[in-house]
Amino acid sequence: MIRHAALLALMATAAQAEAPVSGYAFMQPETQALQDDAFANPGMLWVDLGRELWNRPEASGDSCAGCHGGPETLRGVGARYPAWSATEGRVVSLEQQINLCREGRQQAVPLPYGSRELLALSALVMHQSLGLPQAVATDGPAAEAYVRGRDYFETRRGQLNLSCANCHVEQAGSRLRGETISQGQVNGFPIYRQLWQDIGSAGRMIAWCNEAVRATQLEEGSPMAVELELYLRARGNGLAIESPAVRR
Amino acid sequence: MDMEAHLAATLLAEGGVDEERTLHLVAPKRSKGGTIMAATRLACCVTALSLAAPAWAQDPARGLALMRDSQKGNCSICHLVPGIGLPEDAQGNIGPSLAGVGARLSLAELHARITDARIGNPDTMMPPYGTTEGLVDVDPRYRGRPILTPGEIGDVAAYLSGLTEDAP
Ligand code: HEC
Ligand code: HEC
Repeated sequence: MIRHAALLALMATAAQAEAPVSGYAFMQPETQALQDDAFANPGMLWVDLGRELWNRPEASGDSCAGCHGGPETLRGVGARYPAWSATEGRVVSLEQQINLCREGRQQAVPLPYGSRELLALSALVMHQSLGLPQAVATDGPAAEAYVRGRDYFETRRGQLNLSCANCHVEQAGSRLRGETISQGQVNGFPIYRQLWQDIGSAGRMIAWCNEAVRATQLEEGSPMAVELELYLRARGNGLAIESPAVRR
Repeated sequence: MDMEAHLAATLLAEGGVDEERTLHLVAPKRSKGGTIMAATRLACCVTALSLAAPAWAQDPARGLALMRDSQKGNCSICHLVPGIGLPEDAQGNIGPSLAGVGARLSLAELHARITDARIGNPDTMMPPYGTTEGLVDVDPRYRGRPILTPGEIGDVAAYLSGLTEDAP
């Protein structure tokens, strides 16, 4: 009976909290159309490169395909990252998991975090989960990382003294200069961003928003950046994976 | 010591004013009665800087340039700024339109808002342009100094105080 009451209370809270909306909904129809067309979507170039790298044997003689088979065997996996790694004792991003496989299984050097190759592999893996609900776990050992990520999100920082939440919770839908501010969801990452003429990880986007408020930039792949990404993903659990999404 | 030099010394001792502006304050040709008014109101009011402002030479054109400069005010990312020369949909709407703001707020109030809008509204999204108080995790390239000097804030306030007409 008590448990039932607690569940009802929880459901009421969830209903009050703002429902997650993808950045896609904040884009112009042309940008949406570009994302939806697999032939026109510029992000698909990275997916194609990822497919080549997937089949390329490294020092150990193994390719990704050697252990996993086709990339489609990883459907659903990308939707769960960042995830707790028992062997590493911390939360790791998908990019970091790819590098763990490279080092551990393929005896290959890790790929630099923002490199074309690493983004190509993560775009390939994320693309396998296209349309699946984002489902990042925040219980068990990931719980503390989630809390640290949320604290980062809610803390004002930088010379402009703004938190992520100031813009992406309070002002979602408002205009910053000419840009409509979205909820800052990450279900489309890696994204092809027209402003960059390039693909980028969630970490690159975080650094861009840090720059906008003149805060110390979190380094892509640093523990805090990955914990923040965990929070961002969990905040949008249930949103359909769109990778590679196209944004302005 | 005359009143202006005294005020300048006080502000300097508080570390509240930049060198360039102090020089302007001390310079005899800038001498105006407003400073005395500001000095007498100093004790009871918000910040010395906001109230001392009316005494300074103010340049609305420079104020507008500062508001446009992305390294400085960059005000139109959040506000509609009449005269800034950008189409409406390239300006922000996080803050209220600044059309008519000169009729709504006095020069001293404008100066105070720009210096630190948190004084009126602790939850404001408007960045504190004239102070570093309470800031955390500032990029080392910008650390230790406010975005605008008190003199620059005076110029921006001067431009805004001329915006007395509401938007059509
Ligand atoms: C001053 C306002 C502002 C602040 C503060 C801010 N952002 Fe952003 N953010 C933007 C704008 C503008 C964009 C581009 C338009 C959009 O997608 O919202 C953006 C985009 C994003 C996106 C991409 C969303 C998508 O669908 O592709 C993410 C993720 C994001 N921000 C996360 C963050 C995080 C994390 C923080 C804090 C470290 C932060 N933002 C702070 C303004 C801000
Ligand atoms: C990141 C957003 C943001 C930026 C940048 C910004 N403001 Fe504001 N401003 C606001 C908000 C929001 C308000 C509404 C009042 C409040 O929340 O304190 C406001 C209020 C004001 C007001 C009071 C308006 C009134 O009618 O009462 C003035 C004046 C003002 N801003 C001037 C400026 C100037 C000048 C600049 C640039 C030097 C600037 N603002 C930059 C967000 C911003």
